[in-house]
Amino acid sequence: MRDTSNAIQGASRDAEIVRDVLDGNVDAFSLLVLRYQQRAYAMVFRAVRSASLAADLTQDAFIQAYEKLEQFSPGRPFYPWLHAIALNIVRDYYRKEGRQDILHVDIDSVTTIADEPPAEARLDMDRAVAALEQLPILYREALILRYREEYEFTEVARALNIGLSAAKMRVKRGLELLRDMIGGE
Amino acid sequence: MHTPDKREREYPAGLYEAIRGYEDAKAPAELLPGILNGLKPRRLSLWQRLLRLMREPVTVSFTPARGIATVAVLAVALMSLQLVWYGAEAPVAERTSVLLAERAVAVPDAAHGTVPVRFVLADELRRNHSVAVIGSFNQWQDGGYSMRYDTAAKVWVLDLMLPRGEYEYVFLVDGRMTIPDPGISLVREDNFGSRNSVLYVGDETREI
Amino acid sequence: MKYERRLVMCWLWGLLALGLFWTTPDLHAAPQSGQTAELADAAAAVRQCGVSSPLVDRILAESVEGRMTGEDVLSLLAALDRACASGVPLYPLEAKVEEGLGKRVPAIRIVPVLVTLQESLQRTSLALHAGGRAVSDEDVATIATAVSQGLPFDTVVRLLREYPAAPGADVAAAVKLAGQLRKAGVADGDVNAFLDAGLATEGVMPRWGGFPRLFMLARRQGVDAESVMSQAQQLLREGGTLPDLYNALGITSRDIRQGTGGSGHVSQ
Repeated sequence: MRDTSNAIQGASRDAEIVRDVLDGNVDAFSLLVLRYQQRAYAMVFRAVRSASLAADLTQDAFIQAYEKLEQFSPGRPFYPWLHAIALNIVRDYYRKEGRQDILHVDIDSVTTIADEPPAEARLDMDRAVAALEQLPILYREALILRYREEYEFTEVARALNIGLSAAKMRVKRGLELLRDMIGGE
Repeated sequence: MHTPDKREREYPAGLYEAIRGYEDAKAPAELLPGILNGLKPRRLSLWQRLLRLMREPVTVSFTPARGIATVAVLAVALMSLQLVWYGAEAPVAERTSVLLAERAVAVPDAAHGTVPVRFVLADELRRNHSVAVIGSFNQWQDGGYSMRYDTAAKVWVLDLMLPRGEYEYVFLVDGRMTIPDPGISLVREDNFGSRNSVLYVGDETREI
Repeated sequence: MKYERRLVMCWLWGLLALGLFWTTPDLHAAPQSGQTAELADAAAAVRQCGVSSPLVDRILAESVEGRMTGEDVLSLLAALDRACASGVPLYPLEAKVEEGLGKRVPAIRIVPVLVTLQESLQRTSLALHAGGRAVSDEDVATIATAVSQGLPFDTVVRLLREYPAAPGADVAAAVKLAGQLRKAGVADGDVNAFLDAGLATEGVMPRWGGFPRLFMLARRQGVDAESVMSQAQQLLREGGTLPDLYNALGITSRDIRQGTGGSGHVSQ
């Protein structure tokens, strides 16, 4: 269930919870977990494609977020900050484990579904979704952050640990890749 | 680096739809208690707390109408003590007690003994629009378990990392019809009138 | 003068009303329909008893998303509530509900399955706990599941009677194997002989959990059932392991990786 509430309201609610936690109320952190565990887990799962591993890494991400909570700037939305932490944990995992044999898309590589001209003029939604699954993680996550979670580019940049113009490029490139993968115009 | 022309900026609308409608895999229930169990309580000095309090941005906003109404309410409250007094029902309190109960649940031991598994369903003519794998490893939920169609091999494929164990599963076709894996001979009755495919994941010479 | 005072009074009353309106938000919460309240109560009761909360959420979601009527959801929750109250291990029932929901089985077909499974669990629990045997929820669930899939309960009773000292885990493993072998077409006599060989020593049966699969592989390679069973029994009596049987039958790891061929396969 996506949170469609006003971004400012959401941010201020999160800020309250963070303040609570920093004051010593550990249980308040669970409110943040409840709000964001679904999205964070899903992102990690898309990267590692293993439920138990994703659960562990997501857990680590939240625990790290809790331990670094003083570094979080309360005026901003919480999820991009958490997303960046989770992404780093995923990166570290890849570095430690080396490449995986089965279908773990390398972070910076590009793969395409078999090239073929589209049979129908209309866009096939399933192909689009399948293409999304194929996109390298950092393009896909950029698109999701921008168009599904509807974050501003500044927040997308923060979530991905990159600069503002790099974030814009990622999104643009991601759209292009997606369009090309499903056959283009 | 090429300059993007206007035509390239137009993307089919379905593209954005697909991104917006992209479904997340379901987070497991043990995630929350697992996280909470890993948290250590913070110890902050009074000084630290004071510092942070001073650093917190405070915003105040009001509309004139609301300002007047607030003043009026305050005035009336001062004048008469018969206004409705309600304690903010702290929903947080209820949630906290539920969470505490959850924290008492033992966190399952998560060993990384996962094995790559590939699920395949042949579909020569691509008759199906979507196929997902649902089974005992994902609570029979298809979110995040959609298969992709490989046009070269003409099969639907999904690769997963699963912990060792025994699993039952079926393919969910077009979101409404389920079929066991035609390539797997080991099946089990599901008591709903159909059958599940049975999969053993792990070292083949070791029992589960 | 009078006009102004009246105007001021109107303003004050108006502002008071506005103020009350803004400061008592619960006044304009929408009243719940009868069934929604009933669902909420049923869900709370079931959660209270100990049924998995995400599962309850998922069941409620069926109604919210229009896949099930309110009555259907209530009947599912009621079935879970009854099972919960009976004290049987819940997770086999929860898993069955998850399976039914995932497969879009109508509630009217899920509930009878739950009832049968609950009865099976209760019967099994009673039988296992009699005699002071050390038994876990998992053992109860394993045996009850095998029974719910067609294994005659008499088999369970016989094993319990003839092996009073066998730990619950051994009996559960034996029952599960019995069910699977019978399904694979093994004659009762051979099944019983196999179980007797395995239960003769403590702790053996759970390590033969992968045997039915090996049995099917061997059959596929043309080895006849009696031969497999007799070799298995022989090995069990000598204290051999499942890997030993693989060797004896000449089945290699390459045979394991492929499925049966046909239109689908799983490589492991």
